[in-house]
Amino acid sequence: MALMRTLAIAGIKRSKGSFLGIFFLMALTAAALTFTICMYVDLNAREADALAEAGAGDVYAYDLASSLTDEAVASVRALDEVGEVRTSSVLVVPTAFHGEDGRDIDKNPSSAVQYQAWGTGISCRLFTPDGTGFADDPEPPAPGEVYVPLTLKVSPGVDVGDTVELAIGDRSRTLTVSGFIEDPQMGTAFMELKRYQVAPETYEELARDVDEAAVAQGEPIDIYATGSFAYRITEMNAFLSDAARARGVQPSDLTRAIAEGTAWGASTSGMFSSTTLAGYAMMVVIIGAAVMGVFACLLFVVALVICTHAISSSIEEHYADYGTLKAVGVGRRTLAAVLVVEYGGASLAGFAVGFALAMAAVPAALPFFAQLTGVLADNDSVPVAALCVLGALLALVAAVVAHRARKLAAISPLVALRGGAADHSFASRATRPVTGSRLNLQLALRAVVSAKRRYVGLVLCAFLLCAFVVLVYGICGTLNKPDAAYGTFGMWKSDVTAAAASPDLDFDEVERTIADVSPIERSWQESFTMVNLGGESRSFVGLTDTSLVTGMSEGRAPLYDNEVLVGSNLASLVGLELGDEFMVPGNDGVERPFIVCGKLSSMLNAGYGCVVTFDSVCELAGIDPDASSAPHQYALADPGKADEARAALERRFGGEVDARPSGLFSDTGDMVELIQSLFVTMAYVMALVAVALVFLAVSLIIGRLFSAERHDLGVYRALGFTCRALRVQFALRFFCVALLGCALGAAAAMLGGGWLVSQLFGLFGLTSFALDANPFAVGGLTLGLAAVFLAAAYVSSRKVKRVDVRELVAE
Amino acid sequence: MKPIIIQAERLSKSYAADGVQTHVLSNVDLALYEGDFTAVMGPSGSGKSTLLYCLSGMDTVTAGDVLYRGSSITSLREQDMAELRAQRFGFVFQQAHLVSNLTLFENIAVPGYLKEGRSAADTRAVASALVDRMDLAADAHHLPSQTSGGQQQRCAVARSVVNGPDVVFADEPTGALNRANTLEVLSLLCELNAAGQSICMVTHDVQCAVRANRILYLEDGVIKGELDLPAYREGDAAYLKAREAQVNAWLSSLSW
Repeated sequence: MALMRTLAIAGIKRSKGSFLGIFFLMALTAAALTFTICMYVDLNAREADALAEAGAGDVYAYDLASSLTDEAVASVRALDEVGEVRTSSVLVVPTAFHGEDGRDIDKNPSSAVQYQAWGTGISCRLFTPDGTGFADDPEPPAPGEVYVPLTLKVSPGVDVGDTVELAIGDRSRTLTVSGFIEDPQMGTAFMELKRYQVAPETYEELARDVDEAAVAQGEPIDIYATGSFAYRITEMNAFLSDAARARGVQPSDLTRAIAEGTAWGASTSGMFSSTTLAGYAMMVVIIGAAVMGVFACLLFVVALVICTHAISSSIEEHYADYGTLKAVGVGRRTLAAVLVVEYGGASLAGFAVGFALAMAAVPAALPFFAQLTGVLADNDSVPVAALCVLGALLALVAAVVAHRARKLAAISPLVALRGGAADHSFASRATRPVTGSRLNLQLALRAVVSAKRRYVGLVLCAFLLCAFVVLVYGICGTLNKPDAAYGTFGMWKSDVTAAAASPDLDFDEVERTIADVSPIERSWQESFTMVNLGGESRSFVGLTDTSLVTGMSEGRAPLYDNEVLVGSNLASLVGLELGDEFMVPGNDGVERPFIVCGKLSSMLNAGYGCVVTFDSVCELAGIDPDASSAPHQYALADPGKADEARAALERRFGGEVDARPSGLFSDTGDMVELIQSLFVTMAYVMALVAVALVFLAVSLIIGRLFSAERHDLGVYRALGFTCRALRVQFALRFFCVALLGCALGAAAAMLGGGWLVSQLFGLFGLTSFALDANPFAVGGLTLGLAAVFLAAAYVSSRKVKRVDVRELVAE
Repeated sequence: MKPIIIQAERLSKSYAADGVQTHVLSNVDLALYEGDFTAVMGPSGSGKSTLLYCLSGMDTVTAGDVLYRGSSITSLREQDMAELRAQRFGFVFQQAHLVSNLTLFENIAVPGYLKEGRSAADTRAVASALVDRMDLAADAHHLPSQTSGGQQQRCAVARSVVNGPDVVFADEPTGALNRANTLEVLSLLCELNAAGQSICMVTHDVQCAVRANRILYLEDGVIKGELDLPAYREGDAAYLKAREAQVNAWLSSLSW
């Protein structure tokens, strides 16, 4: 033990720089991995806990009060799988936000805002004013006030003090936002449906207004075909029975059982399993975790490569010392164990520091993610998953070190007696002679080909870093163009909406008014309904111009009323292929046959959404297409003039036209921007880390090269080569090798990156993600990264000044 | 009077280690003349190699000055010093110190490419001529590790003169060679000197020193004596023996 301790300490002292580098890399790896795993685990755990704490059911459903009657609820309760059913009354009211200064905040007066009395339905927790915790004894909202989900802070940008305008028939009411709630069911930014909570007395007042309006406007046909109606609905939370849970019945099984076992369940289009709701909430977490996870793995691989290189170089450099130790009787296994202790110890220390840093950073990051997921996680529990992963990586480091230490077996004590002069052999080297033209480059290439194995790690580092950088920049390049994210995510964008608020509105005149501001590129009408497929509600979108849809992974957009473009995840779930017949139940319960004309690569309903013609969706929803009040949507040649066009409409038509944006994806702009900025920020951060990694890796590798080539460097200096010339040679060596690795990495990323990203985004329906693989940009990145290696090598090789020609005399 | 190439003025060199000051050279004054083959002799630790490296600018001086053709080289910038080494000086070390990943031919040619005003093709021609002259043609394209110690040292000698330096500094160039290779290398040096090449060689071997036309004896960092000899010529054993006897007698007078 004393021997190992002595040798290990001496080894660490001798190669402080290398161990420091490995420590730093491992700390970075551990920090990134721990952060990612903790975020993923904590947020998923919180979503599950929050659903349980709030009293959310395994199945959540809502429907018109006239549809989800007591009898319907009783039929659900009668199912074997169901243990308990809770219902509550909710109001759906068209809503718009205004800032404290009266400006419009909300871009989309959604009809899907549910108002619920505080204390009824599920129990949402109230956030503290700073959004970093929960209020201990939350007060219900005061009369005239409303609590809204936290995600509204990001999109559309609501804050405390802003007001909510409720349109109930011909009346309007205003409530003031006084707090934010955690809604694990519908709080995520990726659910259009939102739940707001008001004081019981405010709820009663609103309910009276809604009932009075209902008398005037009549009952809506279904919950998705209500236009700008205010109406009552009933929401239901159904729980699995203990026996069913023990049998392993899942929430999605329960939705299917309700759909198949009850008449209401077969017809409703507002039913979701808790798994589906959690999936929506965790969508961005999964994508972010996957990207971060890949990055952390990249860090680890780079660390491992450097570790391997350092061990090999160390053995080569200290050949004589190892030989001497073997000559005096120290066994190979002991020497190998010393290496494992040294490198494992440095890695362990790095892991410990990185882990601690991540654990300190996670609490600060959780409130940010709460704005996307709607739930605020804590990380009070022991991060078992992160510890297990780090433990596995540490074991891997130890295994790799032990494997590399096999080289020790080749060292003979005789070598030590020869002063460490091993039998050099250059089995393979370029035959191209050094001719004197571009001397530095020729000498650099000669140095590389003479000791190729020393540069394998460098090629691998360059390959991984460049592949990752090209991949991330490819994603960013795709997302970062103006409005490109819409096309990328399989969405379409409406710049101006015009809905008839008066039956006399002339849409030809509307279009002329808009065209006076900016030419209209496209115009269309769209409608939307939810369809019950196997118990789960799936989105069906109808368009008068289906050519708007561009995200097809297979086939084409529907041209005829009996065609359907199916979301990729739905196609996989149901087993649909092009040309298959797909029976789709309408809201009247009648199934209509559709032919699958294509597969949709879109995040619409997380890959479970479908696109049909406008007439088809109206038929499914039970609406007369000609009598539909679906707003007209316009895409302008100059989208920047959308506000001007809206103002022109309001000037020209006044109250006859409702020009507030109501396109299907019009309220996703903020979220798309957020995702864009998230990726762009990640790209820049990762690029910076990549550059730092390059400098670190080059510094470590070059340090070892110096040791191995100290003699040759001394000779060169004695012959009259300047330090600058030698540094240039080092830089050229690293540039050439890195260029090879970078080119391979870029090629791999270009060839396989789209597929890789599509696999990731495919989880949410985006199965054909086209990386922005502009050859010039990729070439620029490749050269740029290789140039970073060049710069790093030039900077790191400044140590060549320390090589003293007098050392040749000393020998 | 021959022109002076290198001149040392009150040259001193001392090292400090663990608080102890060690004086290696003390106020050395000397001159190296053009065309001379100067040998520096002395017992181990006398400061011979230190003197050589101070004269060649490879080592710094503690006090005094070293002049190359009348200009001080003790305070040259790294760039200028490198240029001086590349263009004006040649070196032969006790070990060959060849670059391990260059062939013998390349080891000779590479410093030649630094020569100002000469094309790469001309350098290759010069290197080829040196390869032939040093009898290295058969192994010119072998790596140092694939050749013998004698071949390596002949290559080192060739490398030292590839740029036609004003002076070649040789530090015990035969110290690591067997007798046959020693004679071979000495013969080469004499041949070069006979062609006008100035050489300054450190040695403790009388057989080597007798090839010089001027011998300096260094002891405790001070030049204790100087012996001028007629230019060496390849001759019979008797000639060599007589020359050795003369040098030995002189050394004896200096308590060698």
